[in-house]
Amino acid sequence: MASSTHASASVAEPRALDARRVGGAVFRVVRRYPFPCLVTLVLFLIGAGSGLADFIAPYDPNAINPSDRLQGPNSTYWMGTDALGRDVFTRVLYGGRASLGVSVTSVALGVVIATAVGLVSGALGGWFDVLVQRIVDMLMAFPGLIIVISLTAFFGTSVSLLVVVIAIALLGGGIRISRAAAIQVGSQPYIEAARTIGATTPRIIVRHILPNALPPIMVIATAYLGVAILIEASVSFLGYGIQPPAASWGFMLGAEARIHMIEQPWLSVWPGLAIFLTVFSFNIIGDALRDAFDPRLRGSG
Amino acid sequence: MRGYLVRRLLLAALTLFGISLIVAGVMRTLPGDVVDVLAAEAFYNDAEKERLREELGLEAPFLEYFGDWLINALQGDFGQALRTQRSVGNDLVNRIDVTLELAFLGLIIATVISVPLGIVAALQRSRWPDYAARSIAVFALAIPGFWLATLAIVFGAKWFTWSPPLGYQAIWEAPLTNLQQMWLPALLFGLILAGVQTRILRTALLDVLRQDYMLTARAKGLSRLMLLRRHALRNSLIPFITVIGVQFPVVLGGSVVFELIFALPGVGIYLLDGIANRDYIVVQAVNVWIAGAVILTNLIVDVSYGFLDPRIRVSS
Repeated sequence: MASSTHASASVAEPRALDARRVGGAVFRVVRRYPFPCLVTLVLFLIGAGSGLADFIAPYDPNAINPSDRLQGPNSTYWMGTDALGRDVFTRVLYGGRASLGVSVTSVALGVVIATAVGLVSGALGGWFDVLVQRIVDMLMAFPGLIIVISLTAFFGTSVSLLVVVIAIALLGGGIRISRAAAIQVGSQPYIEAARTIGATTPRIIVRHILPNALPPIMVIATAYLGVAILIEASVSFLGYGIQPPAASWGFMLGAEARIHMIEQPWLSVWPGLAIFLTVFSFNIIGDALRDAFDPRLRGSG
Repeated sequence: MRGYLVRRLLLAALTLFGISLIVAGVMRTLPGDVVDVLAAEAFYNDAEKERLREELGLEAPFLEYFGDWLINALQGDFGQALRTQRSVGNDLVNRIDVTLELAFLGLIIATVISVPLGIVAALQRSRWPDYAARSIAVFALAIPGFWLATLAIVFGAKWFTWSPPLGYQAIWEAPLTNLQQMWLPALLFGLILAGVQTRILRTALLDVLRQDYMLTARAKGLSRLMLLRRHALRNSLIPFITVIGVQFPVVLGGSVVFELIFALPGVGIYLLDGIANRDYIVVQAVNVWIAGAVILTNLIVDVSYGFLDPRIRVSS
């Protein structure tokens, strides 16, 4: 136990200690890709602000204060207040926690399932592949938003259901991408070589195809984070997502809030800006990842 | 080409059949006492409750229920709405034009925006027009449609004391009134859709511009304009048409929020009303219709490849 700790520490030490080299590397990355780095920082701030909302938020997100209702941005309430006098900045932070939490979980769930199904389908071929392709055809025929609101109509609104349903909406495209990657990797000579020396199909899928098919899957996962945020926001906007009094970016723009927006237009600005910045950042990072993984495509989007 | 067409048609029919089966199956997973819950929530009376039980097929075996539903649906009968007692098929026919008009206007506006942007971006690659066009595209991709529409309404009212006209009129009844209602949602919708289209057109054009035959054509003295018109644009049509096919589900989904915000009585509003009323007959029918529309669009897109590109016509 003690010796293993010591061993791992001694491996990590030389790198960790050389702060100048790390700093230099970071500097080079920032200089070469300034915009993706800036966007990552923005995303980090949004994520940290939402994740640490309990400590950062200046007010209680549900504290009602009718005498201060519908204020514009000022020094007491940085983003103003809503119709019940709740602090909008606080609610944007808590809303981010809901939106990011739901979309990150649903993308993780959807992409893991889609990758497993897509890789096996692409690697195996045969009747299983045909069956999967037909299922993907069906999934792709439903617009994401339509699947989600229809299923919440059947099964009610709860956060865990919302996660599962958004994951289902992402499955079709995810399976298609990972299946294509599996077929592309599967035609490489090293897969044939592995098969020749007697590697079993499960082993080939896990040890050879999966790691080599990961780049396009990571790119689509990043893009899906943006898509999931947009779906969650639209569903909450329509009133079938995150339920009040919990804050969510979509619901803050919804029917109840819209009545008061003519009176206090700032209400319509902040949550939308938060959605936009988050989705925008995920998209830029997705593009940068794609360029990094596949230099041939550089600047082609 | 004919064998290809027949195969595609059969596949589309199979997919639609599978979708109907799944949608009906999902209805079936509702627990047996759901009718009582619904009745309490939606204030159904006993007769409505009985009809709901029957229409949901809770008493018949699943396959019998599904068979009945399918045979009726093939004849255009999608059942009666639980709440309004009206024919769902007729309701959908009366509303589909609103959604389709919004979708088509949106796609046309998106094309008008994205074609020049995509061409300029590809021709001026890595220069400022390219960066400008790509920035616009990335912005458009990230803006939620419902936010843009909300801002338009809020600030339209605040600064111009403008609000969207109420009382929808069909385009063949009162074209001018109709367009007065449609232009803003269609424009905003088009702006949002233009993002993906610009990116795809630019990528497709860059791919074509890289080909050897472009260099040959240039070497034999074709002007740049001619080159663009005769070779580049024509060859990048296929990926561009593909996008419209891929985007169609997004268009139908996005249409829901635009219909809601601008009070346009389309299929999206019908679905939302169905969900609010817990009207499963309506939700089922709308889902099958939308999936059908998407499958049909993809079919048309696939078939149009054959017309646009002789190579595909021959090889299949």
